[in-house]
Amino acid sequence: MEPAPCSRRKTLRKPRLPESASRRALLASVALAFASGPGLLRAQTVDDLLPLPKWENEPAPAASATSPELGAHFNDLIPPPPELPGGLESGPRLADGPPSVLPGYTALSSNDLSLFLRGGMLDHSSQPGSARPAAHSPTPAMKLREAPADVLRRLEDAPANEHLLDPFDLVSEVTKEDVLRLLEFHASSAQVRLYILVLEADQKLPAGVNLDRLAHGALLRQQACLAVIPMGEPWRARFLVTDGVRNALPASRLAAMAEDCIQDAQQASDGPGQVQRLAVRLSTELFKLERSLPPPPSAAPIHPMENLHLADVAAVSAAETAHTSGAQVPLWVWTVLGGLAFLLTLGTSICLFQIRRLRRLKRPGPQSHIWILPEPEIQPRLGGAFSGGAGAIMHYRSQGAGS
Amino acid sequence: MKCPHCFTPVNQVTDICAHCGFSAAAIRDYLGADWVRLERITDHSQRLNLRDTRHLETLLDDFERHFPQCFLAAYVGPLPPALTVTDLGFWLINHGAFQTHQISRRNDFGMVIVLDPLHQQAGATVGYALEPVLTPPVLSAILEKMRGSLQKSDFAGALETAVRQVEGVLRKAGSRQPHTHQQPPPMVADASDLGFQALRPTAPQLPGPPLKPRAPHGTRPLQ
Repeated sequence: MEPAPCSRRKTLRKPRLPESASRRALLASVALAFASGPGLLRAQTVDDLLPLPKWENEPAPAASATSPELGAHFNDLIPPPPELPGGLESGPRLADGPPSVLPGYTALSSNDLSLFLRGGMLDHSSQPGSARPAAHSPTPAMKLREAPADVLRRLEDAPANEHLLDPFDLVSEVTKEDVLRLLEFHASSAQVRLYILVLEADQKLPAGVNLDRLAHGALLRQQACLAVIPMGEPWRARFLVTDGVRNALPASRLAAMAEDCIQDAQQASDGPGQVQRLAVRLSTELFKLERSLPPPPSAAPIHPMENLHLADVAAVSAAETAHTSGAQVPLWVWTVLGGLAFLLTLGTSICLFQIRRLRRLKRPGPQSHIWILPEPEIQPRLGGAFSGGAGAIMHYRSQGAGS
Repeated sequence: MKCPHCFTPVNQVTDICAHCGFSAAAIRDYLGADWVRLERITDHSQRLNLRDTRHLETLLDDFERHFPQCFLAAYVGPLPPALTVTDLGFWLINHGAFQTHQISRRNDFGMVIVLDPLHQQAGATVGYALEPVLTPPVLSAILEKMRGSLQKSDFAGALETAVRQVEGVLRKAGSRQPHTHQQPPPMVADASDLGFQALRPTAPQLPGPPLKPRAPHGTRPLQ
C-alpha cells in the first residue's frame, strides 16, 4: 500500500527548530550585543580564535660573549630542505658535493648575502664597535717621492673622456663611480672641464713635469682645471688651470677657490671621501667662476701645456696675494680721482665767488664805483633845449613796438 | 631821428616836423611853457601802491648813485587822444624839473618813461646826451621786455625792468670810475650847493657881507 501523498510531503519538508529555542537564542544574542557593543562582540570572537601574544616580565637574556654569527638573523631566509612525502628525495645539492669538485667552496651561508647587498647593513666597517680606519699621518716632506714617470706616461694614453685619473687604484669602487658620474655631468654642462689625478699619499708631481699629452691632450682643447690630490693628504693638493682661466681671474680668487676646496675635502676622514668632497666642491666653484670668464670662442685656440699655471694652494700665500692685489690701485684711477677733486673744488670756488659778488651788488652798501658817460655834441632838434624827441613807443595790446 | 608825434624821419637840424608840424613850440602851446616839478615817480592814475612806489624810488636812487650824470623819471597816467606818450616825454624833458638829490643834473642826461594804461601805450624818451647810447632800437628792445609786465598790468614790475635794462646798457657805454668820497664844496653860493632845493625861485639879492670864519673855541672872534 502506497503512502499517502500528504505524508510524503511531510517527509520532504525541512526540519525546523522549535520556535521557542530559536527565539531565545536570538534574544540572547541581541541582548548581549546591546549590553557590550558590537565591536566587543566581534573582538571577543576574534580573540577566541586568534589569541594575542602575551609578554611576561622576564629578564633580558644576557649578551653572549661571542658575537653571533654575522648574518645569523637571516637564517630564516634560507628555507630548510623540504620534506617530500612519499619517500621522494631531492636531488643532489651542491653542498653535498665532494670538496674536490669545488675546491674552496663552502656551504652557502647567510653571510654570503653580503655578496648581493651593497655595503650598508652587512658592511663590516659600518658595524658598531668595529675598528675605524686609523687616522692618516702627514707624510714628512723629506719622504715625499715623485710620481713614477712611467705612470705619468701611461696617463697620456688615458681616454679623453676619463676625467678621473687613478693610476694606482686608490679610490674605492663606490666612490669612483660617484666621482665619475659627477665629473661626467660637469663635463656636459661646464665651460671649464675638470680632471682629477689621484696620487699615493707619499707621492708628488715631479718638478717641471710636462702634462701636454695627458689624456691625449684633452686639457689643451678647452678650458680645463686639473686637480692633483695625494690620497689622504688633501692639503698637498695642487690645482692647474689653463691660460684662459688664469688670465680672466685674479690670482687671489683662484687661491681662495683652492683653499675652499681643500678645507671642504678635509672634512672627510678617509681618502676616497676626501677625493669625493674635493671633486664636488671644485665642480661647484668652477661653475661659479664661469660668470667671470669670457664666452668661449667658436674655434678655441690650443694652449700649450707649458702655459698651465699653478694657483697657490697654501692659505698663507693666498692671504698674501689677496693683500697685495687689494693694495695695488692703478695709477690712472688716482689721476682721475685727483682731476675730479680739482674740478669740483674749482667749480665750488667759482660758484661761491659769484654768489658773493651778486650779494655785494644787491647789498645797498657803500658805493664803490660809478659810471661816467661821454658828453656828445648834438644839434638841437624840433626846438627842444634838452631833448629832440628821440625815443620809442609800444602798444602792448594791439600793436608792436615802434619808434 | 624821427618825429616824436608822427614818427617820420626829421632832419637833424630842423625845428619843425615837415610832416605833422610838431615842434617844441607846438607842444608848448598845448601843455604850457612853465617849468614843472615832478617826482621821480608820478602816478596820476593811482596804479602803484605805496610799497611799489617806495621800491621804485629805491631803485632810482641807486641808479642815480651809479650814474651821477643821469636820471630816470616815470609818469603813469591816461593821456588825451591828441597827445602821445612820446609827446609828453619830449615836453617833460624840456620843461620838467625832476625831484632828484642834485637839482643841477642836466635834463639832456635824463630819460622819461610814460605809461598810458587807458590807451595801453608805453613810451620812452631820452635827452640829447643819452641818444648815442639809448638809441631808438635799444629803447624798443627795453619796451619789449616790459611787455609781459604791462600786459599783466604790473606797472611796478615793468618800470623795474626798464630801470635794470637801462642800467645794463649804460654800464657798457660808460667808463667805470672809483667813487670819490664826497668832498665839501669849496664855496657855497646858495642852499642848493648843500643839497637843499628852493621851493620857488627867489629874486636875486644883493650880495651880503661875507661870513666871518668861526674863531677857535675859547677865543674871541676876529674883528
